[in-house]
Amino acid sequence: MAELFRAEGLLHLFPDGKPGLEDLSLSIDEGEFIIVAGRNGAGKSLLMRHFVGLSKPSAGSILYRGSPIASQIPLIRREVGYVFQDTEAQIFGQTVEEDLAFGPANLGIQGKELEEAVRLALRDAHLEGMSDRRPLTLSGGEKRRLTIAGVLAMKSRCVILDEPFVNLDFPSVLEIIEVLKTLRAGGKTVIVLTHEIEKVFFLASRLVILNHGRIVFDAPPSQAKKEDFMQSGLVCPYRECYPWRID
Amino acid sequence: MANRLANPFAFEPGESALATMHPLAKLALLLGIASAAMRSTLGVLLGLFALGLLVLIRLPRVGGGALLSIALLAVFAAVVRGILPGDGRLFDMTTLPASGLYALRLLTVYVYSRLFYATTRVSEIGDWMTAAIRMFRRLFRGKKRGLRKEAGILEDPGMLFSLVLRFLPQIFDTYQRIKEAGEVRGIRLSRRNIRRTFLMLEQLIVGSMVQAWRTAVAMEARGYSPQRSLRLREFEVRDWALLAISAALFFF
Repeated sequence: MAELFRAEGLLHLFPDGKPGLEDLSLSIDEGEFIIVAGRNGAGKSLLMRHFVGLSKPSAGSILYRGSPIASQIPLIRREVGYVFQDTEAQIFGQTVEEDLAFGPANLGIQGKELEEAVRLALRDAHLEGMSDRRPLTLSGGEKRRLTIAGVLAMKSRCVILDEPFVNLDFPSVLEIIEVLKTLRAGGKTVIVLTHEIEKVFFLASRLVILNHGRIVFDAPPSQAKKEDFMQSGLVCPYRECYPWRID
Repeated sequence: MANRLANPFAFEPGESALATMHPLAKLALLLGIASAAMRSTLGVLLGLFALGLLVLIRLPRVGGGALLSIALLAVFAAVVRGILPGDGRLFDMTTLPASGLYALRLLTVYVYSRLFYATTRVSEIGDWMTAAIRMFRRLFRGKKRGLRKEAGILEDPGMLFSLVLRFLPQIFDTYQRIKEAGEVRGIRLSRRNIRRTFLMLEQLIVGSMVQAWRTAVAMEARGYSPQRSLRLREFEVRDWALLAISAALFFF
């Protein structure tokens, strides 16, 4: 698989001099399903902001498809979709359909091609039949799926989801998992930033754990041990960690 | 969700026929009406006002709520003209009919202005402003130097305009949330407790800025940049008809 992102010796210093990311090197290939896990403030979102060119590193370099990120911003906007945590801040249309058309229309997609992009995004995000609904009337889970559909409509080849399960009830979590399965089956590169790893553990091909801005684990999820989770303040998804579990 | 009466910037065009018409044709109509309203006789003025009001209150998500602001504006305009007749006196009863007519002229313009923004998307106005600027640049700088690749938002007034108007409802939403959060903790915005009120206002400013920044970042991630493609509606027969009516109102 072709390499999508590569970070080399990435350093991000906050204005007060504290490091948000430190000596971080990471490569992500096309078609991977990666969980980037870590407790709050571990640097997950910050790392992804660097990957999509929304933050600038204090030192180190980031490449997208082999070229420095600064020269690749238009391509990244076309190919990489970023679903932020705050759903309300990323819904721009007055109907579901209008919101889905917002991104592709900004990229110059029009007419039948735009209609098709919207239709496929509705299908992949399991929002069929909701195109005329007003976003304000959607449930939390539906709004989250709408934000995912918003980036799918832009025909993104890579989708980054920042804490996709936050504030969702169990049925909505299951709906998001179904959407993630669809994305994986479609061959898209999926990067899920979360501390709720147990919800996507079985889907991922790779697990990256961040702690205090450094990568402390990077391997297939099945190779992670109980200590790898516990030391980074994460929920251990294994049965042995849940002695109170009812089978 | 923001209180719609408290938030005059809740831009949500309804699904009316006017919402599907060209914004420039509607703008021309607004100018034509404004010009006619300032010159026409009482009968014509009443007709224009009634027609506009009828269309306005039938709009989805506007309705009777618009009547309150119209009534307030009418009383204000009439009384202010009556209280200060302009000849040094404080109040002159005899000026009230003329003041009432003046108020009606203003109200007619207000009703049609309200109708314009209640049926026009902010992004449509912004896109047309951007289109005009791009055309201007092409004319004076040449096609190749239309807009630099790295052009910032300040070089795109249309984008700036639509972003500002998009953020305004969010400020009202943030205000509502902070007010409610304060109230459940026993804090009310009042002149009696300036310190607490300032604390809440500080929260309002910071909260609004954070929310605006998040929205701007999310929009940028979805391709909303000065280099974006513009969605410009094409003129249809009915838009030309509206332009003709506007010209008639303007010149006759």
